[in-house]
Amino acid sequence: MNDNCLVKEETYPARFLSKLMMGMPLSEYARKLVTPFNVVAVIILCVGLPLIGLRFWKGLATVTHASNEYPWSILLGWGLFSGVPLSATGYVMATAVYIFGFKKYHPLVRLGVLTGFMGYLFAVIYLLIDIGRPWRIYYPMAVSFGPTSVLFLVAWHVATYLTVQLLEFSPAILEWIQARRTRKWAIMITVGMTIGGVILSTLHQSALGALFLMAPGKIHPLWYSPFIPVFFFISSIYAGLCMVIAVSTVAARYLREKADSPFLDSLDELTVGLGKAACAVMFVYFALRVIGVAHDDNWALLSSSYGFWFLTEVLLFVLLPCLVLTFGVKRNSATLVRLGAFHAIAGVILTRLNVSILMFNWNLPGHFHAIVPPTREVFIVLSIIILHILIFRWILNRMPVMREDPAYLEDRH
Amino acid sequence: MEKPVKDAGGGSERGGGKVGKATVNRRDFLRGMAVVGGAALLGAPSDAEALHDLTGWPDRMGMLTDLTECVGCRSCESACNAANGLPAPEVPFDEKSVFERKRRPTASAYTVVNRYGNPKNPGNPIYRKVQCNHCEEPSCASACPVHAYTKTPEGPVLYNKDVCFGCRYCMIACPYYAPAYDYESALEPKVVKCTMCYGRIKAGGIPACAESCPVGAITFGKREKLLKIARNRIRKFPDRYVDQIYGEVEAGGTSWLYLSGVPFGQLDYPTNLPRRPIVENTKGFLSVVPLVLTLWPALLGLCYTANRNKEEEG
Amino acid sequence: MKTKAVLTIALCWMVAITAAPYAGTEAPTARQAGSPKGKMPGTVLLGSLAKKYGPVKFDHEKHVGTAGSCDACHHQHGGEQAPSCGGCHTIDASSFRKNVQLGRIRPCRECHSASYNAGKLDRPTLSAAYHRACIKCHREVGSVGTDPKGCTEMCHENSAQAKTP
Repeated sequence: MNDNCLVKEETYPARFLSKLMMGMPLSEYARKLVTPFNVVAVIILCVGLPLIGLRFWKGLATVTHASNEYPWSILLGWGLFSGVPLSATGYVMATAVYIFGFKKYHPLVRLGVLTGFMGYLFAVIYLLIDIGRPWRIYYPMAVSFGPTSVLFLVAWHVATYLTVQLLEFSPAILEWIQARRTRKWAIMITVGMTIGGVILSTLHQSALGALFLMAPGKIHPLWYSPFIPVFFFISSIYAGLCMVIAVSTVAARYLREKADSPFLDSLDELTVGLGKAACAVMFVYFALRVIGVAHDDNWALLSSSYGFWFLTEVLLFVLLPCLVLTFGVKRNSATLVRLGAFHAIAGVILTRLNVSILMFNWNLPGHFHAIVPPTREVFIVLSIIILHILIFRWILNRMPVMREDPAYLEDRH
Repeated sequence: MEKPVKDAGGGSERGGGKVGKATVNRRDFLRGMAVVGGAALLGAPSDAEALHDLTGWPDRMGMLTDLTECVGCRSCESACNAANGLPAPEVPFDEKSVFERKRRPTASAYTVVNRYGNPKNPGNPIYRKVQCNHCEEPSCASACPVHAYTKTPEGPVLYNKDVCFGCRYCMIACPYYAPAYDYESALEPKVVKCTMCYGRIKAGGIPACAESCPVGAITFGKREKLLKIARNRIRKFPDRYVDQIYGEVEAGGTSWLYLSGVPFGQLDYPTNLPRRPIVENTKGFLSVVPLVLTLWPALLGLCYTANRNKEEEG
Repeated sequence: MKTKAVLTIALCWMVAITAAPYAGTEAPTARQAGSPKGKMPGTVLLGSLAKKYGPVKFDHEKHVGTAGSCDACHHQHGGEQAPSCGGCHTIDASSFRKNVQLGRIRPCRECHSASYNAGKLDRPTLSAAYHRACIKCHREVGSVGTDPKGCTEMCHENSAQAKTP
């Protein structure tokens, strides 16, 4: 008994460090850190992090072109409006496995939940950089309520959903730090959290679109529609599915040793399965976009230059990836499905950027000049992307996300 | 044991299940959920939610601006600057070269005057004063997640910098591009816009721009009265005025009313605004929230139970 | 009071000559024939609003020549802003033309209040009335690009300047 206590106290700091450095001695760990990707990452961070400091020291005007006509720029256009649908991985995978009972996708659940959690966390980080007084970010939750506002709903949901996703991911963290009893509790609430997550996601994915219902004349009519919330919600579903495909592809390629064989062996089959679901949703989404044009009888606008851009978005970045996915599914080719998935993700980013930035106030003079972000802002966004990737990789390297912790096999979740 | 059912529209107990046991066909459920979910999302914005015209506060004030009288002297800009303690402008107020390009209110100017060519009388250009129009149903107030805007009973729409956290959604929502933001400040950025001299009004005075206008182009008074005066003017001088009071019905109406000798579209006024307040566009969506909060747990819970049941059956 | 009588005569002349409603171009010729011009006010000091600026030195005599007719500025007859006939005349068909209740041209301040009047919103304040009357012809005073001179160069003396000799 005494011996055990002694051993535990003695090795606790060592255990902690060992967990952090994945069992490697410091010198070996430091050596392994120097990779081409890491070097580039550090360079970008060296430029971007000081710029973030500049933003807080000297104001938003120093790093953005945000103006009175164009209050939102890519900090939100990318970080919030693109980041959130790409973080739909959590609710999509959890629902598929725990609610709809597609048990075979179980290996991908944790990866999906982690991707989603990180995405929302970083959406908040982008927000903290972009809003005028970030120290007041909790005001809509606690100080002053504006319940007529869709943004009020978004604020509450992002805050709540972050918590839900953290709780959904907590079993992985708890397994890593070997807190068995807490983990048991965390598993019990999974189904509840999943249902809560779907409810919240339905509402805030569509709410991000509903935000723009307040600007009917200011968004180009081909993109503005009373159905924007539906478009955003449906596209978030296939965005989540494709993002799981994309992330699992990249993770399986670069972090292969952190995955176990159930994960790796089934990945191709699961990829095709996800692709099947994604292309079904994309067909629906494509039809919805056509309905959006028909509803307001905007066919004539398709022949304008903006119409050309609209057709590019809908045909080349929705219909085409959809067809690639369909083809991939029919041929049972995981590679084709992956290609389609990356393409579809690009399409989601494009449509979000179009609605929130590119087509906003399209009719004001100097429009194109105003929407090009300054280099400083680009570097800030790149830095945060790098941080996102680095933290994501850090977690994947250490926690049982793509593998099952053998200590918990009998109580798997 | 999936039994395909042909009429699976909202399939629950009617699905291919055994009588007496709540087994359900998974396909039916997904289909049924999609139908209900879709209907809920498309959310019929019923008339019950439609806002009535603002009928309370009959004594709310307005500002009637007669663009046929404005001579472009910029006394209103100068008076506004002085009355609100705004920083001195880069270009002085008697400098007329500012009219060479169109300006808009900024973080240091609540109002600006722009010049337009006058097709009816090329020697006499038309001048238009631009500022917050203090809408009857302000989009900014509806958009603000922290309720930083208030429509006062006196008419002006006021901004509260003590709760604003700078999301700038109000700037996205305003149909008149009125709010300006102070991006230069790191610690105290805020929205900047006309206040209709609320303090002066409460103290029994009139807004500085109306008081300073040397030709009386701006009339301050009760909005209802101003509408009557405006209609009267149009009736008496039909050749002088276009038969429209801008601000009477646009986006639910504004406190600031305009009369013009040329169509308002030629003076960069937004002409594509609906008559209903813009906030009504979001009411349909927001009304879906309680529906989703109620239906989703039930539907998803049912789905979960159905699947577990299925697994138990083997 | 002498001014009053002179102005009454001038008004009567105007009524006699101008048979039709406002037809500006003919009046000057007719008036110049036997016009009591010399007895009309010469320079008038419009000083009731001398707050920011000193009073305006208004050359009435010069303007009579260029104005065309009295009601170009004194819009008491015809024109767009004329008050109703009964405001000045007793309506008596037989003696309408000659029976003028108030036999004088009313000063602007009698109808246009110096300060904001919530009861008469459709009537410009005194300052606005002055400026509208002047700017009607002196469009360049307010118009930009054609006359860059400021208020103190065209008409007003700055209050500070007025105090210095």
